[in-house]
Amino acid sequence: MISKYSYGHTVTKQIINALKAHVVRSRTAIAAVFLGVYNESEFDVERLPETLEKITVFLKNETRNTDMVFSFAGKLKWLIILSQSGEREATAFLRRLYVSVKNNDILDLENQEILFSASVAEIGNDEGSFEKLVTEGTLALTESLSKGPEQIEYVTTFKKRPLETVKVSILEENDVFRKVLYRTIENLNLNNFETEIKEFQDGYEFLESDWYFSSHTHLIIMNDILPRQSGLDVLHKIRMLPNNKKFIVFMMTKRSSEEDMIYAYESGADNYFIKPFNLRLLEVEIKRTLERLWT
Amino acid sequence: MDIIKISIDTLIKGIGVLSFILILLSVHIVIKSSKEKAEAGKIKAYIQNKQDLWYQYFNDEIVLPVELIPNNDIEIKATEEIFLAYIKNISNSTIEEKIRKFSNQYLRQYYSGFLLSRKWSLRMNALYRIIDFKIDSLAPECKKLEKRTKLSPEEHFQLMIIYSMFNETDFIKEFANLSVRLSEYEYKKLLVGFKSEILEHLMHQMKELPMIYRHYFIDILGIRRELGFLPFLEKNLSHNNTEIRIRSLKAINEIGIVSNLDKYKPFLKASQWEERLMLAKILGAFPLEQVYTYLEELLQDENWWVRSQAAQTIGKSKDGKSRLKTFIATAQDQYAIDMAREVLGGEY
Repeated sequence: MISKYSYGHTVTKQIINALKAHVVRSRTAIAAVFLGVYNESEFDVERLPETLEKITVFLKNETRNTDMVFSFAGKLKWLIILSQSGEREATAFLRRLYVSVKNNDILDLENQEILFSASVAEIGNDEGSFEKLVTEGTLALTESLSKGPEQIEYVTTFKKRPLETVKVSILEENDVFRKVLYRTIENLNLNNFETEIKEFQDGYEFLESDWYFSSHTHLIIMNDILPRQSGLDVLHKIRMLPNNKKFIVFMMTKRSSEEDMIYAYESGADNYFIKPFNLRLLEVEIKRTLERLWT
Repeated sequence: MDIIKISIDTLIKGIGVLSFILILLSVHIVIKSSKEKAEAGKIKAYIQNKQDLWYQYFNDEIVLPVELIPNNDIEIKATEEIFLAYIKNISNSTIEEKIRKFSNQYLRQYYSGFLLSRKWSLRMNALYRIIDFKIDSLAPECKKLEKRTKLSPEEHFQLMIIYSMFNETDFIKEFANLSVRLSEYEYKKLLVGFKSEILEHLMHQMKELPMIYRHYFIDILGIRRELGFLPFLEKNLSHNNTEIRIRSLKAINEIGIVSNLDKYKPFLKASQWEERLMLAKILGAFPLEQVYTYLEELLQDENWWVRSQAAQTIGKSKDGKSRLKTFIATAQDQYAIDMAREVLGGEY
C-alpha cells in the first residue's frame, strides 16, 4: 500500500514502531528498503512531482498488499517496508525491481531511463529508534547512490534478533543418559536462544511441577515409557492445554515400530527418535526447530 | 482319631528351635538387604562421581584418566551401568569403540570369571555383556564354554550372536548346519541383526539349509526390505517348492519394488490361491490401467481371499473406485460384484 505520509512524518514513525513491536512478538523480521534514483539530475525539475507520483504508483504495483511505500516529499526517494522479509528477500525484491523499471511501458515516462540504487536494513528487534533507522538508512542510501546505479548497501545495526529464553525439559528415567542429554543441550551453540534446562525422572514429576506453566517456548525431550506417568500421557495432557503451541515435543523410544511412530505423531509429537540414536542428530534437530521459529 | 502325643517340653523345644531358625533367617535377610542397599548406594555414588569424566572421555575432551579404571566389583558394576546407558541409548561408533577397547582391557577378567561360574544367571550375564560391549577377546572362552558345560537354549542363542559378531566364517558354516533347533522367533531375531554380508553368504548356502530355515530367511529379506536380494527373490518365483514361491512373493511385496510385470503374470493361473492372493497385492505397484484386466480376473477368482484382495487393490488405486462401479454395472459374477460392493462400502 502507498502511505499518504512521507517518511519524515510522525504517523510514519508510529506505523513503523508498531511494526517493529510486532517483529519480536511474531518472530518475523521486516526489511526497510531506502530507495533512490541514481540519475535524479537528468529529470526535469518542474515535472518532479508528477515523476514522483508515477514512480510511487509503479512501486506500489511492484510490492505486495502487506508492504508499505512511503514517499519522500519533494525528492525521488522512498522508504519501502517489506513485511515478513529479511535482507535476502529484500535483495531479491530489489533485483526484480531493477529489471522491471527498465520497462518504460510500465513507467510511461517518455523514454526517460530510471536507474535505482538502494539500501536495506533488516529489522529483527524492537530496539533502536525510528530516527536512527532513517538516519542510518539514508546514509547508506547516499553511499549506495555514490557507487553507481543498481547498487545495494546493507545496514546491519537493527538486524540482531533478541535473545529468547527457551525452556527445555528432559524426561528420562536413566540417570546417566539424562545427564548426557542435559550436557549435550547445555553445550549447544544456539544463535539468539538461551536455554533453561530441567530434568525429570518421570511424567508425574513433570506434570506436578509448575515449570511448564510459563509462556516460554518449551522443548520437551522425553521417553515414551516412564515410571508413574508415561511420555504419551504427558503428550496427551500438554496437547490439551489451551496454549499448547508453545510446546515442541521430541519423543524417544526403544520400539522401532512404524505404528507407534504414527500414533505419536498423530498425538502431537514433533519429532521421534528411536534408541539408540546419534546425539548429533538430536542436536541438529533442536537447532533447526528453534531456528525455524523465526521467519 | 489318633492324637500325636508330644510332651510340652518337646513342643517348647521345637518352637524354640524354629524361632531361632526364623530369627537367624530374618537376621540374614536384613543383613543381605542392607548389604545390597549399601552396595546400590556405593554404585550410585560412583556413577555420580565418574559420569562427567566418562562424558568428557567419550566426547574426546580428555584422554582416559586412570581413575576411571575400576578397582573392585562395585566399581565394575557401576562402570557397567554407565556403559549400558550409552550403548542402549546412543548410537556412536567412536563411543562403541572406546567401550570395546576398555572392556577388552579392564573388564575381560571379570566376565571371564562369570563364564566359568556354575550359576546360569552369571553365565548369561557375561554373555549379554560380551555382546553389548563387544568383548571379542573372550570369544575363545565362549567357544570353550560350549564344550565344558551343558548349555541352556538361551545360552546357545547368545553364543550364536557372539560367533556371528566375532567369527563370521566359522559362524556361517555352523549356522548352515545348526545342531540346535531354534524357534522361528529366535532364528528371525538372529537374522534381523546380521550384517548384509552374512545374509549373502547364507543365500549362497541356501540349499544346505533345512527347508523351514529357508522360509524364515526369505521372510527376513522382506522384513529388512533388502533391495539387494531382489534378483534372488525373483529367481525363487520359479522354484518348485510352493512355500518358497509364496514367501518370495510376500518378501517382494514388502520391499515394494516390482518392475517386470511379465515375471508375475504366470501366477494368474497358479494352482495355490495364496500365490494368486500375493499377485493381487503385488499388482498394486503398477498403474491400474496396465494391470486392470488381471485384477478383474482375480476379482472373479474362486477364492474369497483372492477376490477380496483384488477388490482392495483396485479400490486403493487412482480411479479404482469408478472402475469398480463400472464393473458392478456390467459384470455377471454375483460373488465378484458383492466383493466390489464391499470395498466401495457406503458409496454404492
